[in-house]
Amino acid sequence: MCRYAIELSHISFSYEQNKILEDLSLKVRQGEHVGILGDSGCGKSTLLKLLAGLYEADGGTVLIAGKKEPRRIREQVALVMQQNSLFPLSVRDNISCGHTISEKQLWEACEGASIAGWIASLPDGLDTCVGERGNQVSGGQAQRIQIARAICKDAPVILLDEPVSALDQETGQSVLRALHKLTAGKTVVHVTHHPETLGDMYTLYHMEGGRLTRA
Amino acid sequence: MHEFLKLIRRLKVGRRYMTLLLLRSPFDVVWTYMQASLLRSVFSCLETGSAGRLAAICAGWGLLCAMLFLYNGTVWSVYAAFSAKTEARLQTDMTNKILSLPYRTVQGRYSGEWLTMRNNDIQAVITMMNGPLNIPHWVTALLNTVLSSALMLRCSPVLFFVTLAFILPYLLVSHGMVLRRLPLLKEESRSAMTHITTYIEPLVTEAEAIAVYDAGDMMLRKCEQESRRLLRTNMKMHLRRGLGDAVSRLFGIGGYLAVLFTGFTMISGGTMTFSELVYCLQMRGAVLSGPLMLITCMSNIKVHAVCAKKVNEALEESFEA
Repeated sequence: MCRYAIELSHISFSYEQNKILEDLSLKVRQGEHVGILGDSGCGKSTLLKLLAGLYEADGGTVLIAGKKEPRRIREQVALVMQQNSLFPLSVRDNISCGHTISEKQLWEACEGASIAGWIASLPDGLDTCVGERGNQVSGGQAQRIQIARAICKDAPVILLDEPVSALDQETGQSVLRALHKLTAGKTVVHVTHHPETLGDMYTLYHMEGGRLTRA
Repeated sequence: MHEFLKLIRRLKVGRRYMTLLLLRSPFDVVWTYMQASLLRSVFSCLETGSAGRLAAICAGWGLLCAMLFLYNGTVWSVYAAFSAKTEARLQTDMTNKILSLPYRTVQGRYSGEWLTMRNNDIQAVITMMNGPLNIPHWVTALLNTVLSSALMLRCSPVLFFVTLAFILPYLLVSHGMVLRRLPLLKEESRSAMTHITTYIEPLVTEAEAIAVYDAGDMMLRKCEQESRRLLRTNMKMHLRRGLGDAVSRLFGIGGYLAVLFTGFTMISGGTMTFSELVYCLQMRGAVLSGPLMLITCMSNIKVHAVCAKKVNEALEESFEA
């Protein structure tokens, strides 16, 4: 078993001529929770996409749970994004993403994401269509469905990209409680420019000019 | 048809469209009459051996042909320009309508449905207005059928009724087998197309979630299901049209043989000349092809009317929805 869940060594990344990350290194132990703070456009989301295996670094190495290839990296992570990333399908399809998952596991994921009660109250239950870009559900419900999806995946590394910044305070708090259940015992990287959404257990880093500094 | 008329009234181009249709419509019947008259006159000249008259007939016929085709070409070019302007106008109106709707109303339909309305449905309406075997040919075929029937009836009532005996059953069979089913199949095909567009969009917009959660197969499976539904429905539509075509050929050949046999009997009995039989056979072609064209046009119009209805619905979309 690897000592570090996440190991970034001397990473650089550019969009054409625009350098976003430069000589960035980070090591995150298994089960450690890391919060990355910084202003909009500082490269937080780019870093998260590198960690998710969505982008490949121009230089340096990315190791997630010991895996190097982007496809293998993606198997090790679950991602909850700021914007609604639902498919125009049923709640069931949005959570299972087409993988074979038992009814019991689905409901457990819904319980974990605090949406079981709401889904049970729907006439079609898990087979209710969420509409295009989730337009038939509220922002809070959409985030909880994303959390249930992440719970179902049961990946060792959880990546959170401003998961509550688009929600009102009350809804945001309840989504944070659901996130707490998702992240328990997992390695977490949470990027945000709202430090108040991070708990005490987080190791905080500040990102500026494409580099990370311990906050 | 009702939906189409409603649409052109909305665009305030009804009068211009009707005028262009009427200007276009006499071509086929005049062309049929000219061909039949030429054959009758040529065979009559051959029977009597008058070479001078034959040359004059051929020269006159050539001149008339040139005038007729010049007229037809002129009308079609005006018609094509009118259709292109109408299409542009319809697309602008539809875009403006979508932009003017509240976000909630736009969200009430899948984006695939809006895109289908903006592109495919408007294209179908224009095809209905201008395309082959749609409204222009329907009007032409109607006029061709009525006038050719009158000319054939005047020449030989017996051969006309023999022809009719094969056309009427064909019309009944076509109506039952093809015309009634096509709009339902088109509705189904349209719905499948809308879903395909809707399922393809997240492959781009939600590419990150699809990659991380390995949901690509699920999305492609959904697209494949709808593609299969589209394929099945289109196959059914082709099958129905094919059946209609087979029946039309069966009745067409049967009717031709019956007219030939009756004509032979009449010539043998001395009640008809060979040139008159040739004239009647030429007219029979128009009497037969007229209803065949009418049936084909009606099936196409019915299919496209489904799209015209959707365009009307979109343009009438309520602000309170």
